[in-house]
Amino acid sequence: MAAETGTPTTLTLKSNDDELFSVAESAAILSVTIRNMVEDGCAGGVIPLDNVDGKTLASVITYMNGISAIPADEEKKKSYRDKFLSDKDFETLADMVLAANYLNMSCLMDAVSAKIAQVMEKKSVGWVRRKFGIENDYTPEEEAAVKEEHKWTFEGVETDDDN
Amino acid sequence: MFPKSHDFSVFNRNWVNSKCTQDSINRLPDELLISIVSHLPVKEAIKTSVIARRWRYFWKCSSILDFDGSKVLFESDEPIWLRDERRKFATTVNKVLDLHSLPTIEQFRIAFDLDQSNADDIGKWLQFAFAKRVKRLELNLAESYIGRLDKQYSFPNMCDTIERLRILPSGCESLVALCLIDVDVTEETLEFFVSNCPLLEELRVRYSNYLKKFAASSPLVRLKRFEIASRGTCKSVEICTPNLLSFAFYGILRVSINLKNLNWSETLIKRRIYVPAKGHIRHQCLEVLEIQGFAGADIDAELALYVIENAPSLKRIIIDFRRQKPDVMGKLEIGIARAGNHTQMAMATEGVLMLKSKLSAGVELIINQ
Repeated sequence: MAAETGTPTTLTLKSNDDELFSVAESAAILSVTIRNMVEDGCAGGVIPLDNVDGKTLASVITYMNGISAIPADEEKKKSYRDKFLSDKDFETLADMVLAANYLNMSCLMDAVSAKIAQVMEKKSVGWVRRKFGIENDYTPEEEAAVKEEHKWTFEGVETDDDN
Repeated sequence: MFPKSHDFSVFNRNWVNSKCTQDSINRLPDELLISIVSHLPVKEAIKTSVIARRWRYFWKCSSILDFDGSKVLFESDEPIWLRDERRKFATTVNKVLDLHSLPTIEQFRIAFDLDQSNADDIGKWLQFAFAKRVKRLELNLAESYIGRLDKQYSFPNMCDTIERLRILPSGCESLVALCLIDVDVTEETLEFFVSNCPLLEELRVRYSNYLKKFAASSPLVRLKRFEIASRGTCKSVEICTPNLLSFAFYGILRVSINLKNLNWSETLIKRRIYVPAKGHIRHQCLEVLEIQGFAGADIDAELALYVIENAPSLKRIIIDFRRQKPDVMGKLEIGIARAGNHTQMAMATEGVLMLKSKLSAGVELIINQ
């Protein structure tokens, strides 16, 4: 690490809409992307994060500070993540997962993916399309064929036993 | 019609062609959508193939394969035949594994009431998981009702070269967590895993009838979480785990304390204590100790005291008077308190009070009953 002296180092992060944020290096290096920059000595001035807007970055920094304050206790970290994500709407979650991916923060990426999956779970395909604004580009015949292909997952496997 | 299953170029084509509204989930790249689909239970993940063309093959790249069929056995209103359900479950898993196309997986989990009659299938699944360099492997074959007479599944013996080459043709170095519930696994096989998986951090073994004792020849430096549960067959555990963060011991509820149980307990505790060199602290990192089925007997108190003395970082002791029933849902058996046995309850409470008096100021004692 660049600085391992007594005083905690602070980094300045810049969002793609030119907002500046100060964050403790110890928290910021949860992002492998940032950690690499620090290790390569490119973190002297302002670190530009071209793929993250200010609103999302503020949220990610809250997460970085929160999670790095918890010592090595996986359960507490998990409950912090759950709580942190509990009040986020879908658009925010999508922004977060993109940011987590760009910043290379696998634990946040996993947690957000799991959260979005949780929203989808046990919902009908129609519901998912509506909720997430997905256009169904299958022709009715194609859709029926895909459904037929995985019929066994929808209805059990009795019909496949002769194969 | 449309491309065969392994043509992934279809993703990118659709990605470019689809008019992605800025507000939709479609703005996420494939790898993130795959990560989302990975977090769905397998059947739900497969259902996403119907959403739209772009989504068709995402599930095949899922890095988490969680086959939890246990709910079927608990939530069905209709009477079910376990044999039929087992066959259906195995067929589903086999089909999914046939179609899965990612070269590596993070997690592979089987949760269903299976037994030795499913050994061929389970062997193939293990082979699949290890070939894909699985990191977290769980076989939870817990019985769905008490008193099952079927023969519990025997984990292939890893000290037998033929078996080992069958299950682990390319080794098991990637393994980080291993959990075996209601699986008969031998001490030799567990020792094989702890000595051949350099990254192993978590080991949970419940109710192996073959496990008479467990002793690892060298210190398990990486091990962070260790859990052992026995119906009384395991007589001794002897391991050195300097970096353990959590340790759970699932004892047996002493509905009636008899000599046999007591003997078992004493043997366990004596071997466990392992006489550390004077002044040498064994469990430097241990923070949480959880004892289920605490009944206030000597074994429980001795075990707790030993940990208190040897774990300077200890922050929390969780005592549970109930015992975890070996079933899939992890339900807890009715506590002894509610069972109305006052003598046992008094004994358990007395044990806790004694323990409390020995605790240093920083240690929290939590009691569940």
